[in-house]
Amino acid sequence: MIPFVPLAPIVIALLVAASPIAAEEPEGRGLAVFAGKVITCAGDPIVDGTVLVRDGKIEAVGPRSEIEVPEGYEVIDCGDKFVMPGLVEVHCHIGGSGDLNEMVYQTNPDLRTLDQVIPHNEALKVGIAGGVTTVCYIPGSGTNMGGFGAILKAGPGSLEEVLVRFPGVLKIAQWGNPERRDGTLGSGRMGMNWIIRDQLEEGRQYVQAWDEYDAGRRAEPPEIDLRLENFKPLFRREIPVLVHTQGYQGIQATLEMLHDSMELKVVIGHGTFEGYLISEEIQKREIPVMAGPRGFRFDPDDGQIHGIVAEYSQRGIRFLGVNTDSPVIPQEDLAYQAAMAVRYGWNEEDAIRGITIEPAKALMIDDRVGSIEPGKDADLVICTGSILDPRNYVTQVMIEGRVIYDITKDRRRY
Amino acid sequence: MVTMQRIEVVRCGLALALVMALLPVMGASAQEQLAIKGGRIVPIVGEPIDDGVILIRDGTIQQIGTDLDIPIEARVIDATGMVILPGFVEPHSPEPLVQPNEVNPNVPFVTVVDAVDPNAIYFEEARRNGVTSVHAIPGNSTMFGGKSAVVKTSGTFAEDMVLKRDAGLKLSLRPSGSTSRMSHLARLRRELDETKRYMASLDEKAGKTNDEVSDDAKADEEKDEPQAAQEEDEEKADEEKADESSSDDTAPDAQREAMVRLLKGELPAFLYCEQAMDVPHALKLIDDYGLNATLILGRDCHKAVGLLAGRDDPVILDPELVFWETDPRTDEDEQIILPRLYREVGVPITFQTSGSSLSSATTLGPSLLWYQAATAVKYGMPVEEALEALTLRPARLIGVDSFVGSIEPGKDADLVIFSGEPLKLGTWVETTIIDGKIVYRREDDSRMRALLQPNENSSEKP
Repeated sequence: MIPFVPLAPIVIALLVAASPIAAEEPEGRGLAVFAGKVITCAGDPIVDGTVLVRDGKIEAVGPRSEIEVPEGYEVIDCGDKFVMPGLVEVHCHIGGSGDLNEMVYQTNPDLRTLDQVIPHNEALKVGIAGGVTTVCYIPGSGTNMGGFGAILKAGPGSLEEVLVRFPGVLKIAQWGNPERRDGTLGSGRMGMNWIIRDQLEEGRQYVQAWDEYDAGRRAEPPEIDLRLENFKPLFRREIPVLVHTQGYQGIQATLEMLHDSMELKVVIGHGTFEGYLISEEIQKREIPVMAGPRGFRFDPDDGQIHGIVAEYSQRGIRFLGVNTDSPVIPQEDLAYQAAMAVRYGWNEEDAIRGITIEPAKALMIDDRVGSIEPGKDADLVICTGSILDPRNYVTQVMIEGRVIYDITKDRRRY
Repeated sequence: MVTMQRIEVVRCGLALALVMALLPVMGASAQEQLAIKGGRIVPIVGEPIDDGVILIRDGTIQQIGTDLDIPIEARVIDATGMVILPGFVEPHSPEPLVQPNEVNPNVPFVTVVDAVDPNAIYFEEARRNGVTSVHAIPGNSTMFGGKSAVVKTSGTFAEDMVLKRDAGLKLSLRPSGSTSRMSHLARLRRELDETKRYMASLDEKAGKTNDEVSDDAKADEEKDEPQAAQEEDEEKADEEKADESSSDDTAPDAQREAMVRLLKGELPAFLYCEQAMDVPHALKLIDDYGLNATLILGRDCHKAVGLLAGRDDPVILDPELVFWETDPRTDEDEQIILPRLYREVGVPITFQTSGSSLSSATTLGPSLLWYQAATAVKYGMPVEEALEALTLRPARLIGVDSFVGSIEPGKDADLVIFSGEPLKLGTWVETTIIDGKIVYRREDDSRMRALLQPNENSSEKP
């Protein structure tokens, strides 16, 4: 079992030492990126900005006139291009071999996508060309509890090198796929929610027993149950549950059961159909909505097309992002998902945040990725302009200070 | 708190009102008080009151009468010329559920609260037609369909709408899937028998525990007994888990708890009979297992009406109240009038709006509830009884009559203001109030605006 520890120091050490590409950034030597505009996702964009990178981390960011480039730093001058943080995908199914639904049991808390990750695979490589540098690789929605997902960087390296966190999230599916039609329990809302609650209750009691033991309120340690071990960070609120939920009733049940009753960190993983009608209650609980892949809904009541993300936004939801559910929408089209949400009424600033810092916050990895701020991973995307304009394209991608994709050297992939 | 159970809220109501009285600052909000004056109050319990006043505080009816002082902070609804009734109670409906049945026919442990969709069009229609409480219950396609709940027809969260959780357990005598009546009934009895054996094993265990039997013996017993009893249980997968999570050996596990309560008479049975031939079986089941049961009767069941004569418990009729049947031998048509047939043998009746196999009933929606009462009146039911059959009678039937069903001090302020005589075609619901909150106003009903112009003769209209 991979322990739940930050792996960044190891990753950086290995990157600096081993990889041939890392030779571009010799030990101790930094990097300065000049750009026409730096979209930091942490405050206003900076016109004519500089980003300093050292040891795979962002060292400084600011206007070119104010940032002094230290001696010996390599300079990448992007001209009038835009620099932005690497995109973060909350809902990815292309991080490995793809067999993501174990259909025998209806809840599978012992399963982990970690066991079938293929780092930097072909689909992820194309994703990088679309600017995606971090993905949350999760089980499918074939069962009510598919297992635990892993959060990965899209770049090359061994599993340990690319791993951001495991357990990354728990995947729960409540509506629209996990229904069983074969006569076993769980063909509808009643059965499925019973199953989910029952499994979570078992997990909660297990974690509670351990917490009591750890706090010295219990003499004997509980028996170790590997099937339930990963519930520990979940019930300790160190990782969120990513919920395949949609529609009013589905989201209502998600809020009530998973947030109010089980007191988990919840991320709404689809939120589509008429789910936005319950925005007020989502907002009260400060729960992120990572909407998609469906972008719009035809409302039979008024005969109109409604942009799903825009509807959430208009109802006050700011903790808002999009997903591709790749390969449902190709991974490289994450920015397209945001662009289409803008076309259906979202605003561009929120849309940029909705593919960077908001999903990073939702996944609870915003201490490392999602914005260009000193101390964070140097995951940078260089684009010919705003990534939301479909006429623009990504020219260079950097993951933890390494240039992973460069259209002048690599073939342009997207 | 969002998830607080309704029933607790209701029970706390009176105590809360007391506290509020002692804390004038807290209770001063004008939102909390409502007065309805000037209309004709039909309280169901007792005589109608003309030009009456109803005082409401914190969602509860405080006082009714003619010469009541209206508190200065109360919001006042002038109902002059209108008729005020308690909110209607629908005693049986799967309409609030996203999906009425699980495919697995043996799921007594699931609850409808997990499937109630507060956004369902049913609820909007219910408010529009004066239905304020509904017994949300699984459909008729499952043998043991799950636990029902009485919910109010307005709210954001299913949990908050619950007036009574575990109001009953749905049993259906209609064969599920492709099974025959023989095997369906056989399995139904087998499940009940197994529950009895299971209960006996729990009792035995409890007895032995009291006698301080050694731990080893207990462990053995645990291993053997449930195993034997659950040989043919289909939900084996979760069985062990449920056993583990139960801290008390003598308490039923989560999957069997509903069945145990059913057989102890604590959880009422709502027993669906599709055809007349199911009725004697239903009655025998009730007798054999001592069930506390309500019958939900399909159209065809009128042929067994003789078996029901003399029973005091109300039944729930099929939505299709009047229809024609053709005698297969003589080809003669005969009109069947369900309310009349049941009333003739003295069986009290209540109405429902869905659950029929006929699409006509479901397409008409909750508006059918008052229409059915009107139909019953057409065929001889006194108006007073018809109104009771929409309110207090179903409330008693589903065990919520201490909260709803009549206009009495202490009950929930679930009220419907009608534009005129209820059950009349041209009468509309003007205002629907649930727990003292206005949840429907005809003048704000945008979806029905074209149809429901409230000021037809107003000169302001273009």
